[in-house]
Amino acid sequence: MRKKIIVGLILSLVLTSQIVAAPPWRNTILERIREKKQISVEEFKKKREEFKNLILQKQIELRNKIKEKREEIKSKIEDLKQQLRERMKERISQIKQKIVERIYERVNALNERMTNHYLNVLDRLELILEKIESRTAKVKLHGKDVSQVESAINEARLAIDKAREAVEKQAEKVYEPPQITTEENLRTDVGKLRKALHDDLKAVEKLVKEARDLVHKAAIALAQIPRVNEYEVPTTTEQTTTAIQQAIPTQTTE
Amino acid sequence: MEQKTQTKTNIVALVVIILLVLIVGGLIYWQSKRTIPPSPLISEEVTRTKGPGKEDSTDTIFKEIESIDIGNLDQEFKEIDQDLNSL
Repeated sequence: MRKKIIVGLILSLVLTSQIVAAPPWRNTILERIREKKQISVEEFKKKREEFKNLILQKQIELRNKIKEKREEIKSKIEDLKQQLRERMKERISQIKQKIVERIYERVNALNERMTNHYLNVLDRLELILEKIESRTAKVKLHGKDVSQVESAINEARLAIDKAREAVEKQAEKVYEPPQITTEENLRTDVGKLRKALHDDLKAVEKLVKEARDLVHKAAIALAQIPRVNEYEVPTTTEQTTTAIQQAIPTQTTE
Repeated sequence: MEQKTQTKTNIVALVVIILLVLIVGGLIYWQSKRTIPPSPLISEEVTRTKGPGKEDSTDTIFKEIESIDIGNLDQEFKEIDQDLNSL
């Protein structure tokens, strides 16, 4: 009995925390329309602006978090580099020591550069997805069926989040220096470090590509709606349910 | 004498035919050149339908997706691989 109560308490705590920390997509324009079917042009613009700001704010927060983490990592990498120098001393030639050290530096630098690049890509994809949502919402306000586009948008959003999580983890990774055995095995030993980074980045790249493909898929679903670019937010007089259903796309307002 | 006159007539006829072909060809070419530039009305109509000013139009969305470059990971490893090969 006590066990059940404890489990119940834990579950309710988890659920409450999920409700409190609502994901930003709860504030999208499509969510707003789902709650209340009428919206003015001004409110539409305002809501979009708010959501865009929220996206940008989240993006900045994540970057700052990664930046802080990287500052911590830098000193750790320096320590590891020092350990590597000690390990290589008197075991391999001076020239090769320098090359190994340079490879180790390049591995960490490349990880930073690529994760920054992937973050940029995901930030852009998120803003493109917001545009897809805006256009979808305009079509939906005219009573058209946009369920396929909506589910494509959700898929794309989940893929972006998943990819971003992976990029964040990858950005905070510190690569250990290679384990040097003998000078003859040097290429194999250092090659393991190269492979580890390559495999990790490849996995992240795969997720980023998936996110891009799903955003593209959502755009295709949107473009399949006839005369999709002609819909705009209906004016107040058009906002009764019947009017929405009968609205002619060319009667638009900017 | 009569044969000479006949040859002359043939030459004149040939020259006239060539001239006619050239004139007709020239006219066709001039006409086709004249029709190439679209009328401002047509291009305005196309622009209006496409709606390039809309930042959430599908044209803009597709252009933005296409402009995203995920990069070439193997290319990024070039420097590391060069160092690795020199070990």
